[in-house]
Amino acid sequence: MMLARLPVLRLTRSWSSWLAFASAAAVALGSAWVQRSHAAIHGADRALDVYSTLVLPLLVYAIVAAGLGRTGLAASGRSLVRLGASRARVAASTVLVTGLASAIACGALGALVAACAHGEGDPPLGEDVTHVLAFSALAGLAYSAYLMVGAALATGAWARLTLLVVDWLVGAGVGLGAAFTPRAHLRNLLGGEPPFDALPWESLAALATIAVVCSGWAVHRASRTRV
Amino acid sequence: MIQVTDLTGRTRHAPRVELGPVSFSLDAGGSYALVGAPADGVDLLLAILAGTIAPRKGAVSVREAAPTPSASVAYAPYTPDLPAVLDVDDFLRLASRIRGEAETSSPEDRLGVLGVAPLARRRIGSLTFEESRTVALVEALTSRADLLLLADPLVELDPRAVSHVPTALAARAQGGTTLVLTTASRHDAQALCRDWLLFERGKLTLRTADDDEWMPVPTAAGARLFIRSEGARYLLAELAGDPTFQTVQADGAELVVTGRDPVVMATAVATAARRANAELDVLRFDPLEPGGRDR
Repeated sequence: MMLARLPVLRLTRSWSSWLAFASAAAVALGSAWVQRSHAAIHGADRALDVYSTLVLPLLVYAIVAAGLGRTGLAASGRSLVRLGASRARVAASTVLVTGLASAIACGALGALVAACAHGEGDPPLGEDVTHVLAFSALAGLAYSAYLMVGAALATGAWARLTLLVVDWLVGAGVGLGAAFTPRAHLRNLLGGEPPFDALPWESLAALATIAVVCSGWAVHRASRTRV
Repeated sequence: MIQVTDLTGRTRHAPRVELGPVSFSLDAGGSYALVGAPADGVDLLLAILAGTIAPRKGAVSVREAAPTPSASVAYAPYTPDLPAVLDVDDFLRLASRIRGEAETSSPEDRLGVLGVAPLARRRIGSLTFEESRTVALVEALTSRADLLLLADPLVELDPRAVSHVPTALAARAQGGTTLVLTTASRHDAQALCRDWLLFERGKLTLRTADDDEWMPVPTAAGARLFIRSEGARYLLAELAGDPTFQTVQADGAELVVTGRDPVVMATAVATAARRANAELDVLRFDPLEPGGRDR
């Protein structure tokens, strides 16, 4: 728990993480309000499309950057490792904190968007909000772990940005490559086209797998890096 | 405690600094100054001993194991790496917990060791470079680590702290802690440490004797320096015209020189040895009593 204090304070005491959340909320809720004001029949679907494609990945990117103190995963814990803390435990606590923060922020914002933009053609409100909350939270967790792979590879932002661009480009398709990106699976869960004909439960499992495998690899890599 | 054999290293980023090959050993409980500028490789060597940079070649062991950051080693590099989002008192408490130490004194008391207790409530991100260095030094000096690796502990500190550092270092040395520090100042090295190793351009050029002899503090009468070198003949030619030395005598492979300031003498000998391409094997200082007689 004591090792988690540093990433928690980085997130809560950083103005940029709050600004990122406020900006993400403004864009996502603004989009939802437009759908609501036009009384769109499938308002939630449309608003969630903007949310899952644009807002959620960028929000998680900002959370990960703030949680790392704008450096790499190994370097972010250097000050604690030099005191004798285990590299693996320091990295794991950073991955866990940013993953949970991303899940909470994305889940809450997704649920708000679904509630605000809910239209007559959408599933029942309670069911829709619950599903979107769960799917967005899981997607937030998966995106966070996915971006942590970039943070474990390099201290600069370029590796994380590259992975984000790969997710945008490859995840937009429906082929085999898309099955390895969080974007495609989140789209499937929110009613869009599935990647590689995956069923919804398979996309749920894929997001969970991405979260676990990427987190594990990132922690392993950071634990072997001298800082 | 520390064994270094044919060690070479190189910094990962600019400015590029090359170290080695160097070989030496440091005993537990000693106090050692690695004397030289950062460009001479002393800070790089300290980082290798702390386990934060891997050596390129050669072997280095700390307590008979490869060096790695641990709770029993306190490393304060020249550029401190402290978590900017924490308050200073939070950081000191967290450091104690990570090191597995019981909190027997408050953060204010710990900072008071270097006279900077008012920094306790400050956010680390708001500290100046000098204040950050001072906080990092406080953490190292007041930890229970039995090996302190300190980069230039008298340089770029909060002005209130400078006068407290020698006392704090002496207290740790008396308690049996092994001190290894870097400094560019020969006089600081003499004042703070029993034993010192002089580095120039990444090479170890001089060190005080291994047989528990150490540099005497300068006396008004000066000192006599014994040097053994295979290249004594060439070294003699270099030293003979140097006004640093009052007398220069050769006896086979051994040279005996006298002068007023042992630190200046040692530096001049190192420079001459480099020019003469001569290896220095043994070095011993004897203080001269007033009147020029031996003690």
